[in-house]
Amino acid sequence: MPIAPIFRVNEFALNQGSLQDFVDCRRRFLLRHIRRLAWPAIESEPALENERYMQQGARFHHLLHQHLMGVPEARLSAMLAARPADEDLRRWWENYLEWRANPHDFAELWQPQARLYPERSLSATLDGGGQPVRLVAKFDLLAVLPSTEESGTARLLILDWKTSRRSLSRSHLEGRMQTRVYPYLLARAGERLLGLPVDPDQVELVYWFAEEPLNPARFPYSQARFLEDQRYLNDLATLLLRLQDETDFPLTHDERRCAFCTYRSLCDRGVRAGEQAEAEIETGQDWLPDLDLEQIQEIEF
Amino acid sequence: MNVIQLRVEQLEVIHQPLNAHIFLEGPAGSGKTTAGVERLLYLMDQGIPGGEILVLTPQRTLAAPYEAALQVPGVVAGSMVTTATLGGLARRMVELFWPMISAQAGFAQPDEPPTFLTLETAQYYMAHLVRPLLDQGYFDSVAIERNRLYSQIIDNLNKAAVVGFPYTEIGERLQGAWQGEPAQLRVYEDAQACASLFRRYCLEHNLLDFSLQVEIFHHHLWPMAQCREHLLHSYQHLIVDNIEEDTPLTHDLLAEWLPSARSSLLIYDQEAGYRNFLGADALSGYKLKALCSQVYIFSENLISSPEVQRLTEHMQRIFSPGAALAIREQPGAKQISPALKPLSARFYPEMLDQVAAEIARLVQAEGVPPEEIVVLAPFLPDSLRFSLGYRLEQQGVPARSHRPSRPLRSEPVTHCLLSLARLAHPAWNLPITQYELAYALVQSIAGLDLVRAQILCESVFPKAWSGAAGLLSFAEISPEAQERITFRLGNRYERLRLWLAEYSQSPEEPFDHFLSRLFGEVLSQPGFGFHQYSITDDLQAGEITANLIESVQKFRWSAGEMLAQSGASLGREYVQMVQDGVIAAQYVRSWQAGQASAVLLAPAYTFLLNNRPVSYQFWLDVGSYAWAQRLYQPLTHPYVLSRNWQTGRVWNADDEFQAERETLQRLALGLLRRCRRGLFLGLSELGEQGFEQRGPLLAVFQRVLRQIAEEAREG
Repeated sequence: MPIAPIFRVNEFALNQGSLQDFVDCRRRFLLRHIRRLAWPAIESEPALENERYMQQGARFHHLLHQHLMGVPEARLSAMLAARPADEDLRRWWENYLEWRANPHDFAELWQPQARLYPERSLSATLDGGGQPVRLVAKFDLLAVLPSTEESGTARLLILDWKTSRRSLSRSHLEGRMQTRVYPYLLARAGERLLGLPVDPDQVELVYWFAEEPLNPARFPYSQARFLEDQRYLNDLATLLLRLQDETDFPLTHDERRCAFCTYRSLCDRGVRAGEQAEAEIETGQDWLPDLDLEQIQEIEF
Repeated sequence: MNVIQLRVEQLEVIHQPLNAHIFLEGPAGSGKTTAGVERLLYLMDQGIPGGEILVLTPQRTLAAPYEAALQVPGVVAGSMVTTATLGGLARRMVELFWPMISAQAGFAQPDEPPTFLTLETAQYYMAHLVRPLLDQGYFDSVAIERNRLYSQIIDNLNKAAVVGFPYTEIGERLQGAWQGEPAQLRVYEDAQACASLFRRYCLEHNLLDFSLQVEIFHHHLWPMAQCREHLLHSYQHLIVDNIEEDTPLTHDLLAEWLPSARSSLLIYDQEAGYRNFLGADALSGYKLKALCSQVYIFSENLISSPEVQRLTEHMQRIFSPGAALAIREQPGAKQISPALKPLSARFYPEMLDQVAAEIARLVQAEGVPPEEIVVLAPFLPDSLRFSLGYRLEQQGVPARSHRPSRPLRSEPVTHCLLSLARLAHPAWNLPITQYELAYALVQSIAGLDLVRAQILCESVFPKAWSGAAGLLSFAEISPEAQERITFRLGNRYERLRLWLAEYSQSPEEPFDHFLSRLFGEVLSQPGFGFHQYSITDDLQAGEITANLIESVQKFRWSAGEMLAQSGASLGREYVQMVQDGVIAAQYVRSWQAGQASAVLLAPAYTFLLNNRPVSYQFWLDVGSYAWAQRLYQPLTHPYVLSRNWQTGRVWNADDEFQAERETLQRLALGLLRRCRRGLFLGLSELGEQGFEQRGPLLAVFQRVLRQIAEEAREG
């Protein structure tokens, strides 16, 4: 079915989420990112429980941002203590504090010499077969760890806080677009932010799990991986640009995904949302995006 | 970076040293924002990390040219530029540093997180507090809708915050400027009491409306070293556009920020200041010029044709008779008549016919892209939106309307969803009529027209109200009715009925979840009204439903706990508030929607504040007084509550006359400066309501038209 695009791929920025949509289901990419079609069905069940969990995840990210910005730990702990209902959040916070106190392989991260950049964004341009396409990412925490005798050079860490309920396997994480996009972008575009040249061999992506603080998933980066990711992402950008002209965005063959996609009714791929607990497929974001309450004030024109 | 087509003076601004503090002023259309955008790209090109640059505008839409430039894939790689409004920045800082200031700012529960209120939810809380006072006689001499009372009290609080005076002085300032009926003094007293009550309630419950966010930022965060250093360190390069539309508080902060910034570019639009009803203050913005070492003035209009420029100057002279402005000879502009075309008719519908025909001619015969045409009026009532939209559709011209304050509750999709919600929640005891059901079914069921919907409703609507469970099934109605409705549509009705009935027997869900489920499981499924599936079909049902759901969700997140404690149903409360007009379910996302290839129908101020020039403008209702007059706002006053008003001075008829004149001048000239090739005037002897109209804008154009007649005589 041909559907004319509204926004063109080189008119907006791609990110790990949109690229994940594209590799999961090209139709979803078309509807969500090119047509920007609002389709507010339930994503997964139980809806209320999922919402609560996602809110807790969002608050955890915010809490860590506050802490990294210098809000005293005691104040943040006092605030959590005042809300007994936020059980998950409190547990994650305690796990985080414990990990900070006993960081094992990450001792340098919490030393005063480390430079921390919480909630920063980077962008760079992909080569879509001669046409530029923009790629962006927002990082939970970037850290520059000074060189040690052991490392011989500075280390650049990307910390990503994960509050998923079920543990995410290494192979699953390895296949996610985030695992490609984050270290690639830091290697490509980090120099101006960090004020030093970035060698991909210095970079490491760390998924830190709030439920399993002592078992982070670590993905060291390398020059070879950088070149491979660059090729892959450029090819993806080229493909996207070509497809948008052909308006060829087929539905996924893996119909299990549709149970967790809000467009299922538009694509005639089901009525009810799937149960999150039974999902074998990650449904996308594991926390809610920031709610933008900023508004244009107006009167009754 | 493409700088080839830029003018010399633009290049001079753009290429200023990386530590320059620049003040750039000029009229609309003189290339200031283009210079601002290119300066931004230049800074990045010269090695300034994007993350160190803050683009500050008074309204998010005004940052669109900067955001568009940053989306261009070739922009330098690195950290990303921040675009923000002061309100947005304040909210982010409050959210980030809340634990450090919640107690000293006077919140009763400093260990609890803050709840940020939207305009809607602030209005809801205001209604919650003020409604009982109305029953006690507050505002008894004021005859306006209640929701407008609430919004004006909120507006007063916002003005106090952005102008920078204590909210406790609102009543006193308004009273001091009043010289009419003494009853009005009591109104101002009541307005003050309600504002104070609202503020107290917010502090007790950790609620932060816009005014409180801004005040906390101003009084507690900006003076706090941690916050200030974070901002000053993060953003060392400032680009501030449309400073004339920003508030005195923003200007105060900038005055303190600029000395610490490595570079700055402040852009000031002369003859503007359209947002003064929102507290904007062009005068205080202009004072920032003194803090800049480099001053540039762009005077040449780069947008309008010589004829349009000549017309603009004629208008300027009429508005400023004492100024004795000379009409500059525009190269190539012998006459102004090519720029101005009156479309006259006796009756309003005839005038609309002419407007639609002229637009069709421009698009079809002259090849003008539809998005290069706008139709403007001081207001855009639904009747005008519909009647002109229909005429354009008949002419084969795509059109879109944009009225940002058009409430969602005016949309048929919203009516449908709320009617079905009332059916699914019989315990709310908010019955719907047979008529409302018929309309809801027309929206819900693809292919069902109003005639068959009415036949269906006559047969299935229950005698006594019991919600969806009381609706008869399609099988229970007479065979004749079944035949007329058709079994295909009957089956769809059955599916919807069973879904609603089943839901109505189960425990009540959060209202936004109910709407999502209704949308996803029924209304957007194949065979139902919201399932539109081709390239030509209108997919707005999904957008409107999403907007409504978001409105409900924000309402639940801010008022849910309070309602749960009182045992009230949030869904019922929301529906009632919408019915009462307290919650308009307004939504702003569409404001920023991508530009469609369609003629835009919009209120004049909306178009101005989008700051987008077009080739042709059509102005309707030229005889209306609304082009110049302020809205009737008995609880507030944009001039008296401004920083420029001397406390205690009385607002008199001369002030009002002068304000109207300035308003009209700013509006008319602002529109013309965003017009490239031609202005069409829709003139009818009788207005939409059938009355003759002789407003001041008409008088101005009569003088211009006389000039055109003289030109014609002179040959």
